[in-house]
Amino acid sequence: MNKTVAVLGLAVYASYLVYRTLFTINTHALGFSLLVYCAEVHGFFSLFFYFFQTWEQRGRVVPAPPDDVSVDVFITTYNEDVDLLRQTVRAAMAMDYLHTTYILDDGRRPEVKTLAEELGCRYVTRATNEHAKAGNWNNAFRQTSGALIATFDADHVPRADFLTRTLGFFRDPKVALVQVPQRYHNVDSLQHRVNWKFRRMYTEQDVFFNLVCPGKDHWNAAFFCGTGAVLRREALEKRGGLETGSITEDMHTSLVLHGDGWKSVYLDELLVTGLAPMDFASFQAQRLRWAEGNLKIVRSINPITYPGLTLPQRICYGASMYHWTVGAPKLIFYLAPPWILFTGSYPIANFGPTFLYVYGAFLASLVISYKVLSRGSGRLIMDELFNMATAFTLNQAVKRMIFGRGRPSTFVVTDKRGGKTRSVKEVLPHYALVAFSLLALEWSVLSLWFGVVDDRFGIALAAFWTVYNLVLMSFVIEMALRPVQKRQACRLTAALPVSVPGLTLTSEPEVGMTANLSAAGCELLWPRPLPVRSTWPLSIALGAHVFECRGEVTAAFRRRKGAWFAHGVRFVGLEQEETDFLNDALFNMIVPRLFDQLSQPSLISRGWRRIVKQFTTDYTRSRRSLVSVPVRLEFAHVSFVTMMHDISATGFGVIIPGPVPVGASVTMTVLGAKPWSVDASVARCQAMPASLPTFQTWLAGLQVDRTTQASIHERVLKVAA
Amino acid sequence: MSFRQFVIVVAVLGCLEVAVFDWRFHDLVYLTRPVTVLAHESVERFVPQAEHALSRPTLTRARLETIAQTARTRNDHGLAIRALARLAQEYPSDGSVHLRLADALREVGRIEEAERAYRQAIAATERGRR
Repeated sequence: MNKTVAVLGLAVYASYLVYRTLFTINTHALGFSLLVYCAEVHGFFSLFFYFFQTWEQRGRVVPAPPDDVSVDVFITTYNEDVDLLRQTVRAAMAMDYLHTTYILDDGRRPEVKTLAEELGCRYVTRATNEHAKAGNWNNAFRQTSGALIATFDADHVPRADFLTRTLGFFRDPKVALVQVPQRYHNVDSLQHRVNWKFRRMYTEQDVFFNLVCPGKDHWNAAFFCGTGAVLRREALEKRGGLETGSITEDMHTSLVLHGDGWKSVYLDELLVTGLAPMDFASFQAQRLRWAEGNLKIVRSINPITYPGLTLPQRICYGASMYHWTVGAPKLIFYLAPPWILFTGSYPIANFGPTFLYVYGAFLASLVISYKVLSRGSGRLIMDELFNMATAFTLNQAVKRMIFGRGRPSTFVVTDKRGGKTRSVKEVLPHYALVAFSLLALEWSVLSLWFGVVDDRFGIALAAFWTVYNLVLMSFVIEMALRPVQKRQACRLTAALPVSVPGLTLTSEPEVGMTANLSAAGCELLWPRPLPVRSTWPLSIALGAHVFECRGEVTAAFRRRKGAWFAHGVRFVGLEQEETDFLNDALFNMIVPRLFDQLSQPSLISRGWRRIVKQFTTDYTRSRRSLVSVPVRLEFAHVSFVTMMHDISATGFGVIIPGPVPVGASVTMTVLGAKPWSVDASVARCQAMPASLPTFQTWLAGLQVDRTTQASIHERVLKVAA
Repeated sequence: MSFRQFVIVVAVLGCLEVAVFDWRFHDLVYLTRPVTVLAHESVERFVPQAEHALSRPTLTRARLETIAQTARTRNDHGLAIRALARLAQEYPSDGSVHLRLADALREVGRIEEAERAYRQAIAATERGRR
């Protein structure tokens, strides 16, 4: 079905272009008309490349890793925080499978050398920074001998099973590269949108990593993305490591490897998570580097003519480069409606209802084919928003590719630790576009009012597109000017029970919960307000572990979450070991749980599945809503405080630190300002995602007596956060 | 630039734009007034504005009608005929425009042209009926 829709979508687009060519080129405003026409032709090729790359998705079966292969792990760093680097190095060293970990420090920092000595990994540095990241990598490449090399950026924390899941592919002697997707755990970043109600997360790179990469893999054209990959030394030895001819050494190297006849693999599994840029300036700097690097590759190594590539590989690489030229056509589409309002000249000849019907049909086919081929990943409005956010940056990259930038391209390390200032400079072109659009609207109102023009239909249509673009642009500006993130450590959404030893409320100890957590602090939800600057001994339940520390209340927020008072808490006096333990818990328990919670299919997919289920199965599980309520469970004379995870029409899901047999009776006490208890039985028990066994938890489905369900639901929802 | 500064800048630009619009289309702005008001304006004021408007390559029907009606009210037949001729040229299928043009031509004694305009009015009306 997907392929049929793709072909039909392209056929409709081609027909539309033929119609535009034959009947709608406006000779009275030829330049303007041709500009818009060219932008539409660009869109056709974009769609063709997208459909080609997503034509078929390759799912991979993971082979067992080879028994005796030497593996080196490279962690490249330049100026990143040592605390950030520490967790990456520790996670890399803790990976299953025998390997040697190297810190590749281009910053020549003594504290990083000390870190390497403390953790027991190797430290590699060099006297210069020639060729930036690729040069750094190649320097280590020359000094090491591992047959396979796993590579990570300083902020990309691998899971323990990263190597065991990826090395098996190297059983095929022609495989030179295994790449896994880049996921980002700072879900409050600029490029994330989280809908907790529907448990969905949108990331700006979803389409690339969920669709395009598996699609490229089908054509043996998956490429190295700079981090979260394993490379074969033998494949790189011929050229002395990574290619250094561009600032996007990853794609350049992949192209050369494919040209040499090597294979690549894309494994679509969550095996490493990193940090996405937190502010608009860092985001734009990253996109400019990617765009400039990818476009400039054409100068040194043209995928159309480079020997050794297959035709699909040429198309896939061409598509990757073509993607970065989308800025110019987008800008034409943003400027065309206000230009119509200002001048009254149209890019379309015979602009009237007939054109509108044709355009409407074309637009509908475009949206439907994109949605179908996106398989639930693409979100048109969000994609359009980010296109608008990056349009000017991409144009700058194209300009640099064509005219050069007057000095050699430099590798700019993306800042992942939050903005230092609001990103006003980067958003000035958007401001200008907003001003231009507003003035065009005003001009059109004046023109209509004073009888300069009387084409109400055309003006209304142009005004509609102008307002649509204005709304999107205002979101882009809001994105750029959102309050600066000042926290140094990334806070992860995590509901964990917290108690203060000794504090009791009626007969139960007073219990609160975290709303989010980092190794430096948390947002604490407590049943009553706590005084600011007071310090409390806190016990945080992390699966089977209880983490004890002292927390200082730094802020008491006005907002309340359900029946809970929110507080900002900073952990004080933590030893390095305690910080490491917290980080381990965050990356091995909270992060996998977070991605699992937010991986629900799209609303359309869910609706369709529900309809299908109505006809194909006798039993469907009732819908679950996420809730956060601390509860005490008593089971076989064991009592522990934990969290309720979800609520449904038939019962509750509760997180427990160990498995419980199905059918067992438990007593659940819902904690809060007024604790109360209910008897329940375990209906199901399943392991929750975790990347280390020590942080494994289970989700127990509890069923209560049907006659009391309704009242219990209401009581739970009253105290849920 | 803060949001507040941006709003101020856009507001200033908006005011400037109004001024530019008034300078660029002062004749059309003037002709927005009702015909009854324009009919009592002085010749020195009305005629140059109407002439300027008629010299524009494109003019909306509403403004042409204003000029034609005002000119007829003021017994300025020459101006009225030029406005109606332009209307007839831009809306050839509208029989009433040709009829009004014919009447205006007849009133100033340009009988042959009036007759031609009457014929066009009849033809346009018949085409409309068909």
